[in-house]
Amino acid sequence: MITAQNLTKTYGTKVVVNNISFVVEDGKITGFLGPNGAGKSTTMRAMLGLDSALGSTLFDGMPLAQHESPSKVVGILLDAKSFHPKRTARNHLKVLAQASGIPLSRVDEVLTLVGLQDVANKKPGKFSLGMAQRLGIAAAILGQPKHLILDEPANGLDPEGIHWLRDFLHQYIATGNSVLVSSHLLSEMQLMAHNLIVIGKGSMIANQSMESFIQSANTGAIFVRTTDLNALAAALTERKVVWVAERNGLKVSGVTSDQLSAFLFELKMPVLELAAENVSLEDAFLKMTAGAQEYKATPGGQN
Amino acid sequence: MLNAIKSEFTKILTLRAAYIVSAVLVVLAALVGFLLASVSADGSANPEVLNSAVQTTFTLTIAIFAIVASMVILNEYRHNTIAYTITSSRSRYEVFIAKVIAAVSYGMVVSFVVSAVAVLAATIALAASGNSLSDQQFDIGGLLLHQGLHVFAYILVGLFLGFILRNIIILIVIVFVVPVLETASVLLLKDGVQYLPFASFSMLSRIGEYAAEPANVLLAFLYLIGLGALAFILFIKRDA
Repeated sequence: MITAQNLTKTYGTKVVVNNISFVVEDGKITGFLGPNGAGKSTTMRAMLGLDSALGSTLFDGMPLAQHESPSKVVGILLDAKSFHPKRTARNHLKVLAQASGIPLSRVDEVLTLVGLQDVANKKPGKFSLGMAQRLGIAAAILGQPKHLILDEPANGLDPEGIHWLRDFLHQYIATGNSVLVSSHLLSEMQLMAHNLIVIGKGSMIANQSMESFIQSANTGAIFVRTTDLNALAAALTERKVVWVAERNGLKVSGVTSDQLSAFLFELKMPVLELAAENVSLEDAFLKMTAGAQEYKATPGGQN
Repeated sequence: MLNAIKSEFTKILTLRAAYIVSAVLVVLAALVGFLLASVSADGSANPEVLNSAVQTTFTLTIAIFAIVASMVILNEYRHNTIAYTITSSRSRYEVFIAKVIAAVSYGMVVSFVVSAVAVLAATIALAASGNSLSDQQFDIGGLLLHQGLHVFAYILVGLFLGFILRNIIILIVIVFVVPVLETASVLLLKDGVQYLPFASFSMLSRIGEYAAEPANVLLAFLYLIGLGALAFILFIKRDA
């Protein structure tokens, strides 16, 4: 279990991580979300002691530096391109293995595991982003650590690579390990993570299970489509039921799907489509982080 | 600690650049040794040729030792591998010491090879021009000791400046420009110039009647200790 307590990081007068506390549970993948500039990477670096910060992070109850071999406690991937471009992939991992007293035989094992065995003796300077990510993942798992902290590991991976990463992480936690992973690929995160930590402008926005996070954004609205939308709208208004026009139908709030279908039956209107609102992680994330973006683009590319 | 040291050596030895720079230094040493001996070999050989070959080689190449040493840490920041290095060790103190040991060991080995090549090239040139080595005044122990100290000082300067500056451009400017400025300041400071940092490091290389006084040696080491302490504190305290 990783326990981050009251992490606070400031640059001058700017607070980039503001008193954040959370737990990364064993046997679970915890997604770490936030808009650009929210402080995700800074939080991860603070947890690892790379950046000085107030607060503390305990790995299985102890600070990382107090563990006998930190690499066997936590594996990290903070930047896909964290390697010397002229040092071969195998030598890059060999350097890391030696630093942690890991047997060198493990280097070829992890290269095979991430599918880079054929380019083991190539210099990674010309690796694609996807290959660089695989090398980064190989480095992270080199010491077979109990915990993984991965900053956007799916960036640049092809669909097969993303699928592999998802399966790999699920297998990884199956033995009681834990994973903290950030990503902007929200559909992937929805498939991958069990718990979510969401931050915006350095502050905690949500810290809960994936399911409850998504449900918290669900309004319970029902989308309905029929042959005469105007008549349906008028009938709903008459019964003081809230609705909004959406696409080629109506989004109705405050009634159940059973009630709405019965109402349509009463009006003798055919049901062309009736569906409870399906909130995705992306919908929930955008709703929860509205106003917490550090950098906001002009809508619709206006200038 | 031993793991960290082994890893630092592997970092150096798995980069082709380390071999290229070493080869360039060796070639320069051979050229300097050969040219100096040839120039002075009209008639009888200058008895100081072998000393001069080594001294001149290091005068020309000493800054390269500092720059190469700085890469031991600068490469880590440039390619962002410092995160791995720090998190794989229990303390930054271990990382700092491991880097000092690796940089100094590598630099000293190369400097001894460079000295040997300079002497060998000069010897071959002398022999080719029909001169005898027996004419040479060559205090090999003193020369190796003083050049060793000189190189040692520059390796540490480069490494420590690397830790402090994290910027190769500023480091190169300092290593190449400051010694020139110090030399130029002789007009103002007269004899006092010998107490400036790079001047004091250069004095470590002098042998015979021009050898540095113990006070000069002490001052050079005080500069190194001060620079090292600053580098250490910044490495421990600053964000990686």
